[in-house]
Amino acid sequence: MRLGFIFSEVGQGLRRNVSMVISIVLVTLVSLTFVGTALLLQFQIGQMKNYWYERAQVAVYLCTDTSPSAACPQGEAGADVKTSVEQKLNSELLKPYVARYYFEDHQKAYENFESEFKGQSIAKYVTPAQLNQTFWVKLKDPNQSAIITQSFNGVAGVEEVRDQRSYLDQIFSILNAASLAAIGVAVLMLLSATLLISTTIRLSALSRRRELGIMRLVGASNFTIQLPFILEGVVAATIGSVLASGAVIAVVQFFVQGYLAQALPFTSFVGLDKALLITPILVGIGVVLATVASGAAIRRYLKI
Amino acid sequence: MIRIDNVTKQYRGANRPALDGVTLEIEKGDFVFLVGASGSGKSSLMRLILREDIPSKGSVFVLGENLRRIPGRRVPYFRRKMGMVFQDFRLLPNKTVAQNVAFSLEVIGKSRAFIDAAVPDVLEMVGLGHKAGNLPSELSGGEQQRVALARAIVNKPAILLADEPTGNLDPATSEEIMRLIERINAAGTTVVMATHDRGIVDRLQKRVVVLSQGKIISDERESGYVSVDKPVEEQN
Repeated sequence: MRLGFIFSEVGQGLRRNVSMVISIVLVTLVSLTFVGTALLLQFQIGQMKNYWYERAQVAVYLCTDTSPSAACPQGEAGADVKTSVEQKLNSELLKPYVARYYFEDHQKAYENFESEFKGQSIAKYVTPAQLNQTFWVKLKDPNQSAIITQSFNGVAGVEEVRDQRSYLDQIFSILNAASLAAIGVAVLMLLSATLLISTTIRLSALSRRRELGIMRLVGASNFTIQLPFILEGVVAATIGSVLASGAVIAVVQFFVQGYLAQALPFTSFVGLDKALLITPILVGIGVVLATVASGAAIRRYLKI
Repeated sequence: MIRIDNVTKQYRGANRPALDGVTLEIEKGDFVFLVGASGSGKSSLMRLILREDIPSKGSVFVLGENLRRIPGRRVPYFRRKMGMVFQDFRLLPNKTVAQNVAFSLEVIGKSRAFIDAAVPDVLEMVGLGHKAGNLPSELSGGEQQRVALARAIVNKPAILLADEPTGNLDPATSEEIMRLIERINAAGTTVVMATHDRGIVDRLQKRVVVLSQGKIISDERESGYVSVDKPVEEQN
């Protein structure tokens, strides 16, 4: 096996089919960028889940005078309601599940509200009495929120029990759908990349069928005959996948970290470490795909 | 060296076999002409010897290998011991004479040093040392066939198969090519040559195997063979 010879054959093949090679590069670039983006989104979802689920609490909202009368026929919850909720949280039944809880009275709720909506007109129209007194319950296992919800739903003086995760789940399901869509597009693109590679290699073999005939005649091994063609596909796909990796890294560096992370400072976004983790996956997919596609395409020229 | 044992080759879709119960033995160093009309089975026989096809019935032994049993991956190594030339030369038009010959060594993994030594040698032998840098399109037909011969013998094959090597050449040039093939034969290479050229066959006085409709109708050893004119209807 002479490597110099193999590489010069590969170089010739690439030069002869420049436009097809460029199309392989572009198709693998686009398809693998989609794959990379989908993976990034999955990482992002995972990271946000970890961050927010960790902080998600169950809120037990007590009635106010302005609460809807269906849930709160007696109006404002008195001190007795507060005491009974607290007792229940400390009871043998619930205590094992509760990590900690705290009580937020009207005044504290108002302060939080004010700081949250600072400068917005709504802050001017809200009075402390309109905001619920709330027990914020942090669970040992956030998945067991149903126990709290069931214990307090319908209890007199409790307006509503709300697991914060129900808000988060909506966001995550949207992100998840986006990532699945990206994977769907990526699969289609990868399919077309595979077909394109095998067509290109077939054309390349066709344009060199004289050489192939002579190689077979003089006894070149199948490996020697195959290798230049497979390498041709692999080189093109590798260029595409390296560019795709570059695109993914650039997206993380300039869009996610450079823009999103500045614009939404309290959210934890995927960093370059995740992008670098994706890079070898993309190159790997590119190389495997090209090897399989061009190997299959050249196979029929090897029949002896 | 080559033993063909009661071989029948039936191609799919053909109404009669291309070869029909052919038995033939060729010894080391032999020079054998295969003659016969188009479709008589000469090329089919060559293809079987080169293991481009396997017989439908019977067996083919070449260089001690049973070609029916030889595994596909070993076929290339078997072919390295064979040389082959064709009527249409089959040179690579974008490579020079020397590159054409070197190519056949490169693809079987010979070292640069070996190629650098062997290529000028063989080109000198076929009388084309001075045209090593020319492209095939700059050569005459006879010269192109000599390049093809150089390519076929550069790896010192035990057997040279020649399928109508003079078919595209004028008589004088054919003569040069035949002298070259005789020299190759004299150096110990077994030669099997399919041809239509009666002049050459009559003059060289070698063994002649005559095929007709896939059967051997005569096998004349050494001298004595002279082609006979036969009416066309009798040949078919």
